[in-house]
Amino acid sequence: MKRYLILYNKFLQQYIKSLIEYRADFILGLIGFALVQGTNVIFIKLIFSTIPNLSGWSFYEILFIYGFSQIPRGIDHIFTDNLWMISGNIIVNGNFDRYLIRPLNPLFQVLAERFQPDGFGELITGIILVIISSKNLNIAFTFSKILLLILAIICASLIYTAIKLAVASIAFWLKFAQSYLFMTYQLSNFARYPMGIYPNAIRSILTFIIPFAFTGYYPGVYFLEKGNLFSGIILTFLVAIIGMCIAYMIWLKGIRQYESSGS
Amino acid sequence: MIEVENLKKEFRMNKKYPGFKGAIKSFFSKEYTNKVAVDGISFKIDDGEIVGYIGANGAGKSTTIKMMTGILTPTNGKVLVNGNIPYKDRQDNAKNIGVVFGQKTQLWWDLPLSETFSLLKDIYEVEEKEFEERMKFLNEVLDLESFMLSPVRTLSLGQRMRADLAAAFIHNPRVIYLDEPTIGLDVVVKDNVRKAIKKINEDFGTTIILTTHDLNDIEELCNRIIIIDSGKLIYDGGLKEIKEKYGYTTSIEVQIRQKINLDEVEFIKELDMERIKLSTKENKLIVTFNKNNVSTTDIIGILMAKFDIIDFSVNETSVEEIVKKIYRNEV
Amino acid sequence: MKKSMKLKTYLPFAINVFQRKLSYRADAVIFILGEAVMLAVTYYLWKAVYGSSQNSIMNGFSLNEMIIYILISFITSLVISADIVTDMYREVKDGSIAINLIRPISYEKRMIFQGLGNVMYNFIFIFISSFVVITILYYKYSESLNLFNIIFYFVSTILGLLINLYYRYAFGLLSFKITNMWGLSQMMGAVSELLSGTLIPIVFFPKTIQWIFNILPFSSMIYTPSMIYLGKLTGAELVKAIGIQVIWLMIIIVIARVMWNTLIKKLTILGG
Repeated sequence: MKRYLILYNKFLQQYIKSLIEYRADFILGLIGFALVQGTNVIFIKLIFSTIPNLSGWSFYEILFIYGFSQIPRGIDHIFTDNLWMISGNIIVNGNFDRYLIRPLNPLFQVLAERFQPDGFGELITGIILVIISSKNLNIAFTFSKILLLILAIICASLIYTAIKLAVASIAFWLKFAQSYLFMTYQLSNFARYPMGIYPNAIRSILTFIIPFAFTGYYPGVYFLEKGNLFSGIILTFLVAIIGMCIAYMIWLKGIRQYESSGS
Repeated sequence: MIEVENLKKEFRMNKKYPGFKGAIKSFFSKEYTNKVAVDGISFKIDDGEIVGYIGANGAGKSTTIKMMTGILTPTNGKVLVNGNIPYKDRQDNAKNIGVVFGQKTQLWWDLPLSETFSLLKDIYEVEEKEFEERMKFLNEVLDLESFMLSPVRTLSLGQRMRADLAAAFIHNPRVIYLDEPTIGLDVVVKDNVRKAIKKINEDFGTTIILTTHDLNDIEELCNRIIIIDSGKLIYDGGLKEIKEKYGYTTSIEVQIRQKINLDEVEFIKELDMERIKLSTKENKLIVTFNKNNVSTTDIIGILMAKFDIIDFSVNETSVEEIVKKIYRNEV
Repeated sequence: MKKSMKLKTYLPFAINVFQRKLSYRADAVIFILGEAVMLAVTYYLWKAVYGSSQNSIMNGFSLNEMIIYILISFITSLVISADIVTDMYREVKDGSIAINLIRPISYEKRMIFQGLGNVMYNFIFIFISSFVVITILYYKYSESLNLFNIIFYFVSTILGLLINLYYRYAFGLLSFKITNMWGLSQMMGAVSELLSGTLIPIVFFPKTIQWIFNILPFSSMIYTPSMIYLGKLTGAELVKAIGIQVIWLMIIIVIARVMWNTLIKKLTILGG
């Protein structure tokens, strides 16, 4: 375990070294995603210029849920971006073998190879929005609440990763799975607004099948004191753990499939 | 030591029908076609051997290597590499092997080459002192200094291949698998790579398994050859025996300034009695002979003494021809 | 070297892209489904917004009109789009652009025609059926159908299409110099999406900002045709809007040509 931490650190150092060469790209990526965030926030502001509240939610409450949902999205974006490559060209181009040849967990190698700072755009925006909205809503963040917040964010990030991992692994069977990953990832856009505005069918999908609802809404409303501890924290935790286990099993099964059918 | 016993690999593929309507039919059909890539191969390789693993394209070479390195699971049969079952104990096996895939690189594309080695050092847990010694050795033997700091994506094919070979060896594995390592390289680089492989084997006793289409690779490096055709092993023995048994035919095509007649060149046959074949057409002369009995330079020498030669080219026996010959002899 | 001017030369590029998309049909469909997810989110959001509002008409849009609006702007954005930027970026990244520049073919025309191949595909397989469905819905809501608006919708869409293709082409030229196009294109994508009125009709923005947006080319691509379809731009306003489209088309072509002349000198090609 310690070995993996040291190795990840080494990969990270490599990335930072190469960053110096690609400075402009780094800044552009950061600004790019931050701007995407900006336009989303403007969109929310504009809506609220015409209505006092949205289905019973105030402007700052909506802002809080939105901001909260972007934090795990950003974290997952930073660390697991290479999964897009797996679903896209790594397997199709036969470049997966090199991970099997080394005495190191293949998933670790895949994730460690790519550190994507673009995700900081989402992460930082999310944090700023959460801070601004909680100030305006006078939410008291006690020490224990902050701990729960961190736990919820970590679990939510794991849920993102689990969903991406499970869908990207389809590439082991289908060779190319990027469009499926794209469609699934798009579902996360539902999570940025309160579940109440969606019909039951969609709510169920987002809660029980592709549990993006636990990456933003359920934990978010708990901190707004409009939800409960069970669905907000405990379920989020369970979904994260179970989700990662299922996703990792699919990944392993995918590798076995790859090993039996070649490239 | 590597033990391969009755190794079999079958691929099941969805039956594909041609054309647009066929594409729909294929999607719904449950029919499979079976392709047997490797059909019951057995052999044993001792430590320190350099084995050439040759066969025509599609004969099953890469598939066998993939099973030996643990990338592919066999349909049947057994593979043991120094006590490990490669596809079962993949990471344990990986600690002691090095692999070079001719067409795909293992190096990290965007980083300077030196960083690849630094990362590999940590992944394979190589001790600092050993790492330094081995880097020094590899630098000498493969001449890596000049491009050590360049990003891998800027390297030429020759440089990249040398770097990949070094990367496969940096942790001093017991076995190195080379899958078409000299493909696409120019003559000078090929020579360097061969010399490096030889030195690694001599100094460190590394077992080397090499698949290649280039018979010169075999000539320079291997003492043992395994030939595989259509998934089956058709020859397993020394290089010398092959040369003696199946003949080593070469043909030279010579362009002469004047038009040439068959009787004018009959005398060449004296070099090896009746075992030289000749054919002429206008200014062209084709001499087919056995390299064991008469050398290319002898023939060229004699021809140059008598005729005004504009150009000549040498055609070595291809792997396919040897394979065909072996079949004919078996039958 | 004289570059070919014949239409015949460039048509194959369009057909090639069309066929390529055809063979990856499943992927293309799923990709569009993914985009449709955003459509669904926007739909439910607006439903909730109207549900929370005292007025049933906001900024001149009733809920039904808003729904039609987001539907028509979605398929309009789909039919005018073409992923020229990724193609250009990829060619630069793997170096295949070198051989393409040597051929006696205008790079600009080839890219535009490749984009048209994409458009052809989207038009045949997605646009036609969706447009019929949306128009039927519209008829149900408004009890009337204005042929005039529909015709001008198509005129405006074609103009918007050309503006978009040249805009993406000009943007793609930046990949001659910049390596992280992904981040940059995300940025431009978000900006143009907001400014084009896809997410939210421009009339919802504060008045001063509206004025700026209406001058920029982005609104010309999707907002203008959609508003014409809904009958919200008529008479003099309609003429003015189409006029702005024509002007922008000319401007963007000029910008693209200037960029080409500058950037072709700075081409940094990666790859061995």
